[in-house]
Amino acid sequence: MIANLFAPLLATAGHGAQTLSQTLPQTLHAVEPTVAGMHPVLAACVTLAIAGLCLGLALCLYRLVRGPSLTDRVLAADLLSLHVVGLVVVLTVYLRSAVFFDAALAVGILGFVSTVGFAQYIHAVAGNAEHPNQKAAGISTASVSGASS
Amino acid sequence: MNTAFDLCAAAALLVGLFFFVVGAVGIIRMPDAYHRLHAATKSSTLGLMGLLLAATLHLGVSELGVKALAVMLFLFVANPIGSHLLAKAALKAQTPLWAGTLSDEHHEDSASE
Repeated sequence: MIANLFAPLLATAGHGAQTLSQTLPQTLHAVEPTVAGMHPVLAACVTLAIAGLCLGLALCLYRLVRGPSLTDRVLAADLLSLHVVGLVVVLTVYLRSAVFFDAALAVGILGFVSTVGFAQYIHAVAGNAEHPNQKAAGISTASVSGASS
Repeated sequence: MNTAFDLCAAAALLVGLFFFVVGAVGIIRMPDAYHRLHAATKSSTLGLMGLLLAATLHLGVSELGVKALAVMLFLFVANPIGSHLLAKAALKAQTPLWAGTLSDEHHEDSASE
């Protein structure tokens, strides 16, 4: 079943020169059997969900690259990990098997731990004005001394 | 019966997707880090609830249902804690506020101490 899902991707990778319009019909045909047992409305919703989550991933990546402060970047990374969890859950619905569900929990825990770690880092760097990385956390020394007085 | 479950799963999937997309748009459109925290964390928690509910409905109540419940409980606890810590760190790091902010009670409180 899993090999079925990834076969069209591998086939597409093989024909680098082929255009998308040529490879797309084959791809849809190869994926069809796994969707067969599903209600057509649910199948459409799964496709829509994958598209929407990928759009969300792109927006998060934009914020991750662009984010003016380190807080924005960490937040974007956290939301990115949650989107990955969402994609794994949608994959579970799509494949009708719970094989990947542990991956969802693992990615969720990993995202939470990394968020907490980065939050502690930002907190620690903000407390230490001499730290060389203070610019990364978006600190201005004058306002720090003003707040602590 | 199966059709009804599938349609409910589709509805839950769409609700979850809606919240996820709203969160992702919020993280792009909001003006400063605190607004982005507000937009991203709550909507993503609720969005994941929808997706997990859809998975549980589609696969039936089994070991997967328990696992989905575990993930839900974990995220319900972990997501607010993470965003709270991040907001505290952002305040400590003096992350700039939006220019249109009307009142900054945290700064006033820490200045009067």
